[in-house]
Amino acid sequence: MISILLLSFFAMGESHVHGVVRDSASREPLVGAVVQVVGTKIGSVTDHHGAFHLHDVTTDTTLIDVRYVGYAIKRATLFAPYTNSVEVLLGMGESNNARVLKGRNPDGPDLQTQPVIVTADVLSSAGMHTQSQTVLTETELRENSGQNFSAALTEIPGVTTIQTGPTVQKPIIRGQSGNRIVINNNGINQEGQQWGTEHAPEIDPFTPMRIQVVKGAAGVVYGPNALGGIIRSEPSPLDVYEKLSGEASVNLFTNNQQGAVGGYVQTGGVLGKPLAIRVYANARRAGSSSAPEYSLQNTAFGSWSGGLYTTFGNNDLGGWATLSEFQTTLGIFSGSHIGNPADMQRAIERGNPVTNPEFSYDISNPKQEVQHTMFSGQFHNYIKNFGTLSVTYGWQRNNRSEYDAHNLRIIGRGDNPDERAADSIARLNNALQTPAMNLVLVTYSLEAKLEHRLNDVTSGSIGVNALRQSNSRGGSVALIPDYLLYGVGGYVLENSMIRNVQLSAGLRYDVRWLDARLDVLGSTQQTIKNNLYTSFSGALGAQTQLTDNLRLSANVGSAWRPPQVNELYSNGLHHGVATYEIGNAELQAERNINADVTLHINTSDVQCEVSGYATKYFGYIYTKPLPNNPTTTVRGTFPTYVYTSNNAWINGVDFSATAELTTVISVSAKGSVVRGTTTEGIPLPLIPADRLRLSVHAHAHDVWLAHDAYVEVGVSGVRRQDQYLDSSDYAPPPPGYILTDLKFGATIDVFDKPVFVGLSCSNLFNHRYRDYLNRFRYFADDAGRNFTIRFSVPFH
Amino acid sequence: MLSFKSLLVIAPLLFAFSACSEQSTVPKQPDEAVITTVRVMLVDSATSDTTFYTWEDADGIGGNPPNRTDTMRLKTGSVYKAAVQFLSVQATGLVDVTPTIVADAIHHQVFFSVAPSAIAIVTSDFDANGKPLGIHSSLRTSVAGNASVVVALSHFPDAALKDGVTPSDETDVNVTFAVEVR
Repeated sequence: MISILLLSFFAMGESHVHGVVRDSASREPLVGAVVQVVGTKIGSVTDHHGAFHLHDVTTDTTLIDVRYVGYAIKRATLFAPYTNSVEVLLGMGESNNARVLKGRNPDGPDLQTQPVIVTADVLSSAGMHTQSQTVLTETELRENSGQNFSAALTEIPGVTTIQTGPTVQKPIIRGQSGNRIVINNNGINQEGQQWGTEHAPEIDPFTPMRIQVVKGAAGVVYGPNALGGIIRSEPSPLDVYEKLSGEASVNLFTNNQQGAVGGYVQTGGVLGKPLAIRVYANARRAGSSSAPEYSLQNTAFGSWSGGLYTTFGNNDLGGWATLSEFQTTLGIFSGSHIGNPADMQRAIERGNPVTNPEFSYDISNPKQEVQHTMFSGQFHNYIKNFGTLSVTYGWQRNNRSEYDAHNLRIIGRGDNPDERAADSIARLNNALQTPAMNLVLVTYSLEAKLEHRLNDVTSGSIGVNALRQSNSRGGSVALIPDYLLYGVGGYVLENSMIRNVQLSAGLRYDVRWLDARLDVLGSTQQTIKNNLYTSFSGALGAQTQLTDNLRLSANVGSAWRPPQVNELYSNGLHHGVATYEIGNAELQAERNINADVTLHINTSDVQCEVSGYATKYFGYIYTKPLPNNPTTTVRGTFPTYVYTSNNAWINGVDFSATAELTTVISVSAKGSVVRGTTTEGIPLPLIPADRLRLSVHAHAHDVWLAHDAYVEVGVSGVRRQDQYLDSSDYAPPPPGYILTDLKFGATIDVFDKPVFVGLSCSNLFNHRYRDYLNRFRYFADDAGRNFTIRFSVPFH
Repeated sequence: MLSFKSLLVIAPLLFAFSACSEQSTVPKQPDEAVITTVRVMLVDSATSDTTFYTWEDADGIGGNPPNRTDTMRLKTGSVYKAAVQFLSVQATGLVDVTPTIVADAIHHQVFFSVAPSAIAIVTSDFDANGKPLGIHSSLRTSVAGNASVVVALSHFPDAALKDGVTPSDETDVNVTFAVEVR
């Protein structure tokens, strides 16, 4: 299976080995494959084009290992001079699992003296092989990571974000977010009040990890709620015999004068055992953001995170465990704190916020404090003639506190009105120091999975899992009730090659019990409402190589999700958007039938992927305005929105294309279009507007002292969202906008250490704009120009 | 080397986290008072007749619609002294929260808006910065007709932004009384 082709491309320096890693069947470049010179720390991770570069290779013959999750490891010998580009082809045929390597690689010399490598393939491929997947490696995250986890994902066509001011950002995959996508972190589904548009994922972008995004339903493996797609972040690979190494990085952002530091240290072979440990920690502090013409009051934030990751054992018996903590305090833009619809209208007509405060690192009310603690661990055991059995356990606790600016009054105590008034004010100020709402969400999960090979071309997995979740609320504001949720599910997923067609098929069944404790109006009693939801998810996919350069894949499937507590039982004022939202206890589970087709074009100069999808939802749950039934309160009259369900269509196209004009310069285009309507043709709210990004990228391997130097200029255009229901909102969608960004970076050897230095600028021309999916678009412009400076220094 | 036995020893440790709290420890604010009731006292300056008009949504925001919305009945060509009271329905009865607002006058202002504008309302009390407060005012009617008066309480987080004319974006109270002038 080993095929190393030496292609004459262009001459390079003698100490520099470069090449590309491809799938042996499809010739698709493999993004995020690890290429390492055996016995040294010289290594590289393949970029978006599958390319790798190894510097400072001084020996005449070089042994490299190429690893990629889901493929057999490849070992190859290269001979000096290293002037030719190396093409490494990885095959899936002989093994679907890098663990099965032990003693099976006759081509690799020194197998006795080299430790058996347990590639940290925490999990096998996310979703089905036939689905559109994108991997962001640690290197790419380092070059692109913004102020938060979600921002880094927008590199992927079809992935956008919904924002609540500059501090809160949530990912959207093909028009779906929140309850309809799953974020799988460290091997377990992250649970953290996903229903709120102002609740961002609790993951630090500096964590040493890589991210896989599956666009489209992945309900078979990840359970109900994964009907729009999944984002999986897993720790960067950690070899059980890893040598002592680490990295420190610093990011500085000019717009909000943010400083972010992070780093990790890792070592393997602890106590001479196949045991490796990584410890990491990150911290950041940001001041208030600025739009081009004014500063945004109370948009400072701070966060820290830290954790431990360990891998142990070998291919037959081993596993991994993680323990992580994430904490953040976020200011919520004060200009969004409004009392009633008249205030909202006044703010919209005024156009600008009332104040243009001085820059500040202070965070005052309204604000959020979020803490997410998680533990997850997995044991695997290879059983001969049976497969690899793995058991994954997860425990996580999400503690969310929201502080209101001014939400209540307190009855004062005292002998006369003056005393009572003074006492009342004192106690009110005291009360603002405690959260108006506190939610504690604790989730336990347990999964057992058997990965098996039936024959040379057929492999798959069978899994069962169980979860228990409890939500407990405190404080005076009761948006969602206390509840207990239990779930069990089981699935089968098989992949097979028939002639030149790769087929995937999966089926899953889930049962979910929800026991909600509802307040009884005018009483301290609670009633318990039991809900039971059961259903199937299924998926079928096929992928085939049409010609050497053309690959076609297609999927059909059906996924579902039970209604969430906020959709069933929320009842209250939605501050910030001045609406009154009422849940609907009668809602049934939502189901979709989805189909997608993706065409991949790969020639030596052009890589292109075009994907079209159509999704029909049955009982799509959304909030619908009730214009004839406003809610009259002492604060004024609010438009009423009720949770309702309707059949709907969500269809779209996303694409990306890169053409290499010369060996140095390439041009790229990527874009996405999503349409969401009810079956009667009424546009659904909060669907991302059409967007297109064009960029020019220049890359040089060795320029003076710099390796892998690059410059990129990009122009992103977002159209006005013209698909919306008239008068369903306080203000029509804002106009479209065009932003320019610039980035360059390089690796420079400083005292023999390859130091990465990057500089990037977003919104280069400090353009004023508002995005339809920024929930604060009514009140203020989006952030203005921002320079980011990044340094990272590895050490071994 | 790890044995399967040692895994069995490690496994129970995973459940040690069960000891962590699953309950929120943040209490509901004691003595919390949501404004439920707005009462306007009008004293006819000629006769000293005193009348109270009430707007009340006893179960607070949401739930049932307001349970009481009085119509103000006024005489043409008259001057009234007006006083606004903000109250909260509690288990123990109505509690007046107006003194709290008066004590924190620099951060509050009561605004009246009348449509059509046949009724003139002039604020007669001021905060420590000399800006109008609006708990006390005078009301002058002219010709007969129907109108509505909106009584709104603005909260100003930053006292410097209170200019006496512009409501803030943080409205605490906004209720409408129908008015008949005969």
